[in-house]
Amino acid sequence: MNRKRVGFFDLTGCEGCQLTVLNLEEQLLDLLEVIDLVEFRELMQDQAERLDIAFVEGSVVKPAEEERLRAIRAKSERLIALGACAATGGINRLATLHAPDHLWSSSFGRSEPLWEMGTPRPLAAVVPIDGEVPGCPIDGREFVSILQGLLMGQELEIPTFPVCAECKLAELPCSFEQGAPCLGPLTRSGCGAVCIRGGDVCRGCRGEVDNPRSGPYHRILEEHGWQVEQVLAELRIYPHQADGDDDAAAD
Amino acid sequence: MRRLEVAPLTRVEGHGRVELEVIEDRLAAARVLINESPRLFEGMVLGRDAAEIPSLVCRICAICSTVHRLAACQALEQALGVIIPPRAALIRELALLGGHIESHALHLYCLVYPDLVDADSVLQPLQQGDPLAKDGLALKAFGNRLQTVAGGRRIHPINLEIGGVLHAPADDELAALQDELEGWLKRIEPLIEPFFREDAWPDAGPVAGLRIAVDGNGEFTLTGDNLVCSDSSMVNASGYRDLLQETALPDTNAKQSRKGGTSLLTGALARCEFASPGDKTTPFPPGIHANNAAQGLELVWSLERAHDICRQLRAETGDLCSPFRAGPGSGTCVIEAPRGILVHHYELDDMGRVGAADIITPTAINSTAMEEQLLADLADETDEPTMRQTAARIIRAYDPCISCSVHVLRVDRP
Ligand code: SF4
Ligand code: SF4
Repeated sequence: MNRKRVGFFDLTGCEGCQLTVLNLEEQLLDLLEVIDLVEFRELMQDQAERLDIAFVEGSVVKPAEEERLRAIRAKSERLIALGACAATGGINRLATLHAPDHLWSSSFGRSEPLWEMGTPRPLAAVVPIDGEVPGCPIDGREFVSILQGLLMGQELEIPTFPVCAECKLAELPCSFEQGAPCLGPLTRSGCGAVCIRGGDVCRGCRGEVDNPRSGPYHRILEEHGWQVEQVLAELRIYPHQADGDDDAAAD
Repeated sequence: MRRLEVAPLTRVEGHGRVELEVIEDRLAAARVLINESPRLFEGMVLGRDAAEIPSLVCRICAICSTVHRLAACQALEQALGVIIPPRAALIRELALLGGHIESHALHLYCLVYPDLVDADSVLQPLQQGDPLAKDGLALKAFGNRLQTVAGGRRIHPINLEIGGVLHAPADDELAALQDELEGWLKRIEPLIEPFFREDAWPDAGPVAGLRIAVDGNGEFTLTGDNLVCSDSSMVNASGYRDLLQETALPDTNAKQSRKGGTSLLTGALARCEFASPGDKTTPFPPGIHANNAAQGLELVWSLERAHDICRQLRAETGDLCSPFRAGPGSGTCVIEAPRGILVHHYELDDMGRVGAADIITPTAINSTAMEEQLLADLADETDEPTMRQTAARIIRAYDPCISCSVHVLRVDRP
């Protein structure tokens, strides 16, 4: 069998999504039996000419990253956004809430930018992508099943129902009943409601479900007297479609 | 003049490169450059509610997400006058130790070990069934397990919030950890031995930089209220600026930490020089490569300490979180991240929103020393390939984490 050539790349992010892959440990070694890992900077020195699957972590921030991303696109059969920074702009999008000179002066004590830096953008704003692995960080198990699907030539599919459903299934106490607003009703599931399980609320790291206002879970907000906009405003860490996007795919 | 590049730096955290200037076959200048694009976190947190900050700033760096989150919690607790319950403090420390173990094991076995066995990556020894690489990886996995049990997730923990923690590990989880820790303590000695070998390193001179660490009053520690320096000065956390004197250098786009013109060294070696974490008497290998052995010693200490904490926690039944009220204040936390001192400082306005933030990472502190060390250790080297290879190994010995460039040092223009 021809082994698929797989590579990992990172733009601007915390490398947590790549680290989640490294953290698969034993499972990663098993995967290495069926794929040909050709590029992973943190782990090895090689650089590949052609790839079947490229996983790209991080947002596009610097002009040089735009070029790099185009080059990766050009040599890859399929390009998958790895994690929230790549898929939606993730936490990096918080920078868009501040004036650039303000950002610079609070980090470097001077308001002129030290280098060219654009608005943090998701990959799809620069090149067409073939799917995403959601989350900040990604979920290791979900990554493995997505990769297995890709190796078998399937289309990449991610859940369409919200975290709220997973939370109910696990019979966790509802955040709203404890008076805490939660993004579970609006956020794409697949994480097993890990934050709610851990005593926190959902902060929406996996991005919004496709039709947040139409599903049955939307009613939970209303039942507890919350409007979508209100909950988003309370918990806005990750960007949501409601932000009004400049992210429409180029090309 | 010729310019040699070691780029991209592989087997380090983040994007970086080294530039060496060679004049008449001798190294004349060395620069460590960072081409990570910093995310200006200190700006991003402005105006946000204090309660949101820990979960935001842990996204600075995946490897150190636990210690970033803890540093933020502690600084904000100081600002708000919150004292956390003792049980919460133990659970937090367990998470911190998990991060320490995972980070050191990742560095030693995945990034440094390939140099010792002449491999490009840890995948080769692993695929050849090398037991040391395999155990090293298992130890890294165990560090992750500690972080999961105590922090709720391996990367970007959930459990650590202002006031304490959100939930406590169950007794059977703690009992299982205790057993596993005992197992590791029996196996750890031979696992760290290779990093003490004398002949495994390039020639190296004395280690550059005044040493700084969180003060443990003569005891080995990762946490504390004061910073101590090898020139015998000591400052309280809130006076960190006096010691670190971080300045933005106008011409070089740089932000460096130095003290009265002297470079600073922080990290495992500095910590172990202030107070040994154990009674192992094997001497460290020469020069900066001793940092690897020091990390090995810290692995043993961390396992012992984690074992002790699990035992204590099993007897604890107290509160997990202290209530707090939003309000004004300012607070600073100094803490030892795996790579050295991490500082988080916040000022809150009357509404409890962040008015100013300052975050200083260990790699920023070490940068000047790294460049000095390259110059010193490569002074007699004339062979180009060796120069490149040794430069990469020197940088790797610091275990730099370039992705945590909240502040960058010298930035590569795009
Ligand atoms: S999505 Fe989250 S975990 Fe992944 S790189 Fe971005 S900040 Fe890090
Ligand atoms: S519960 Fe929400 S914030 Fe937590 S991992 Fe799932 S989607 Fe992300």
